[in-house]
Amino acid sequence: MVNPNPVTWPQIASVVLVCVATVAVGAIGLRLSRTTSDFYVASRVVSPRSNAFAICGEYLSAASFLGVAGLILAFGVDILWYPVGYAAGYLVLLALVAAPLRRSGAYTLPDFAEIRLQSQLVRRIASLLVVGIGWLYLLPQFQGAGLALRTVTGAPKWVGALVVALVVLLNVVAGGMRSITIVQAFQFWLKLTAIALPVALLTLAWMADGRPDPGSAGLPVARTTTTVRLPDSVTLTVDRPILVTVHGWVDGRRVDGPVELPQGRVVLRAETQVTLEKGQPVPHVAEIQASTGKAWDAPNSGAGGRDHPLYRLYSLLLALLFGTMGLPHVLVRFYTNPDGRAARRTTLVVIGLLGLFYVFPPFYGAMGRVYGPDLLMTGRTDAVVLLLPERMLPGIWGLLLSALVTAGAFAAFLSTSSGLTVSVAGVLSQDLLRGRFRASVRGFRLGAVIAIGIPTALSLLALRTSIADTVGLAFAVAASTFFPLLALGIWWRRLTRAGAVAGLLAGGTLASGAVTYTIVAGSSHGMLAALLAQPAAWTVPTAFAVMIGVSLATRRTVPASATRIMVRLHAPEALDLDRGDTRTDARRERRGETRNDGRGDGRGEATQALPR
Amino acid sequence: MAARPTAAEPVKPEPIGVRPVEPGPTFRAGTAWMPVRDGGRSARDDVDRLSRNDLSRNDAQRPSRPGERTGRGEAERYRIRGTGRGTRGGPQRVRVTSPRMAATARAPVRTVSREIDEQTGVGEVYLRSLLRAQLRLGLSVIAVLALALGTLPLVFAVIPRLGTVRLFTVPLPWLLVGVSVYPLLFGVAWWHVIAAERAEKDFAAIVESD
Repeated sequence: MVNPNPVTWPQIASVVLVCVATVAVGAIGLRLSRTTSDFYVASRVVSPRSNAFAICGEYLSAASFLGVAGLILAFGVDILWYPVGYAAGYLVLLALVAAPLRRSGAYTLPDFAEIRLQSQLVRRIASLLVVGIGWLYLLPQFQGAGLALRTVTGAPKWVGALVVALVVLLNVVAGGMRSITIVQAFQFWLKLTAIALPVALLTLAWMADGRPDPGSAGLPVARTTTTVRLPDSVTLTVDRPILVTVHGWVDGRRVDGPVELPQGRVVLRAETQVTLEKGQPVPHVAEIQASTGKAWDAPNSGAGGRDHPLYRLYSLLLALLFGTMGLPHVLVRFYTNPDGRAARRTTLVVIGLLGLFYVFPPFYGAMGRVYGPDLLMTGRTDAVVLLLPERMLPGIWGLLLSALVTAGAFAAFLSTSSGLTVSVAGVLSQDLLRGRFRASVRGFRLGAVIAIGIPTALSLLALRTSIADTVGLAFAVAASTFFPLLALGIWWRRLTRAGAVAGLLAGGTLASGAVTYTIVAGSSHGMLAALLAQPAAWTVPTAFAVMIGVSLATRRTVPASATRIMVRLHAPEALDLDRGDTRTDARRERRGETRNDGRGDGRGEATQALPR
Repeated sequence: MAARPTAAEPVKPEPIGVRPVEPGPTFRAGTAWMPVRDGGRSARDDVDRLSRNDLSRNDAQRPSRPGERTGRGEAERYRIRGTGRGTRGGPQRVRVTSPRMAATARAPVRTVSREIDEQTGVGEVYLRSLLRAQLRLGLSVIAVLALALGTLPLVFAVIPRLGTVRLFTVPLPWLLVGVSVYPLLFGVAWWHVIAAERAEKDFAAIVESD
């Protein structure tokens, strides 16, 4: 889209403002909390409500803010299940893991693996998975940042990715945003305002415009005479021959002036400029099939060319519902709850807040069908949230709202990638780096550079999946690995080390193989492509089966501490019970008992009470 | 877990036939009686002597007083590699007990928390009842979720006409999936929080009843 409005300073100002505010509050927080213990002490006074604001601030990413609306524009009502899954994942987390996970005392997923199974090997595998899932989730954040900055200012794609990467790196290396609940809470309110406020004004604009129906019969048509400049070379599907004005290259021929695009496929080279007349049907990129308003409006219709819609839908739901608990940046926030009960209440508030937020993005997708169908031509439907305000509201109001949604989008990139970077960098320095980089500040900083550098570089490659789809793949890997580990680890005493290792490897290999194929090859058709694009439906049961089967086969090796850990995970903190942890020592001394470690092999096996 | 002994618990072979009674936490965390107030000795002195392994027997055998405060923070600060277990150079401490055959055995007081701590059959029953109650709750939440979210796409697939119904000009599927699901999620979550807290309260009442 050629920027019809050369005024871009409000958007740039809002981006700068969000970045500066994030760094500034980060720096102030650094002065306030110097030591780890500061953080822990502070964490005890974090109430479930403010903790929930912070969790939502971290969780609402580019996928929620931009991706959902973009997919709805292209594929219609079926995409509504994405935000439902994002929110319902917390319900599963509440039902199965929230309180026990907080009580385990684990700070990260590898910590939980070690506490529960007393195994360094399981810990190591969990660490690798955290890094992989973290990268997969970071990738679309940088992708979205590049897209957002280009959409509103016309800057090259790498600028946005680099800006976000640098701000996050600065923040994390300077002191980490983790401890600063208030920054994350601020980002949540910014995002909620930025998505909700424009909806009210845009609804008025839509009504004033005669309420055009997004689901009206027929193919989407250009509402006004629209000029599009293609950022990349694209293959377009033309449904009906149309006469357009082109400056650039069509099927390898230089064209300057009116030309008829024939029905079928047309290849347009990058930087080609196409002008569509009012009322002309908009050609689509080949990956998105043309769909009439009726198909777009109807559930399970496969609108937009996604075949096997029912399988895709169920598999996606499975990934989102059970993958949330395996996201590295989600779990860490639960540790700041004072106890298991508060962890549950926090989750309840999170579910309420997410439900409030997710009502809004579909509105942008639907309006985009009317006011931005030309995005189907570039394939950059993820930009719809950013473009709509200026398209629907001319003048200063459009400009201001555009600045607001841009600020919200950058808040989404920054908060999610900061949270992920801290988690990934922590795991890298704790478990995967060697020598003087191990578990040191220097190691954490090196970890942060690695954690950000690799996804930033990858995001510059031409990726063929949309933001929300890539995030969905991260969920699929998390659901195929950490969900079985957490569910069985918390509720099934007979889980063994061998079982956990085998299950993690099976789920991890299958899911990440499918994910890699989908990202590299892009979307294609047929059952096999659907199975690979939404792998959770078969990888999650496989991982479960392997984990349970191998555990039963090696039942003699159930860790001796299993029952003690179960007490720790499930008994309320106030009860005076042996939990096999440090508190137990103090408690025994209070009772005047001495501790007899059995064979005393220092493995932290179950302690036996003295015979009395 | 690959043996990664902490400083406090070194792997140490123990002599056969003698059952050592380890000072354990008393010793490890015993810094409360180490510092200055004990006869003007500084904690630093103790640390030095500990590292030389020449703690006098008097010190080593001093029994822990019931109710003695043991500051873990201090224990961490003064903990010394390789000395956590006790007097390595000195004689092994041996537990000496008198069978007191003549006395009538007093029925032991068995509290629920002890049953659980010692992983007896009774303790097992209590723990399992808590686990079962919570798991049942969690699974019912997932069942409700599966029923609500899982059947909706099927209903749309079986009755495609639903897609054409409009409510307040918005097609029904958009309202059902895009809006009405969220209050349902919140309601189920609310119910789970209340029920899980009640289950915990019941368990706590049993454990603390004695």
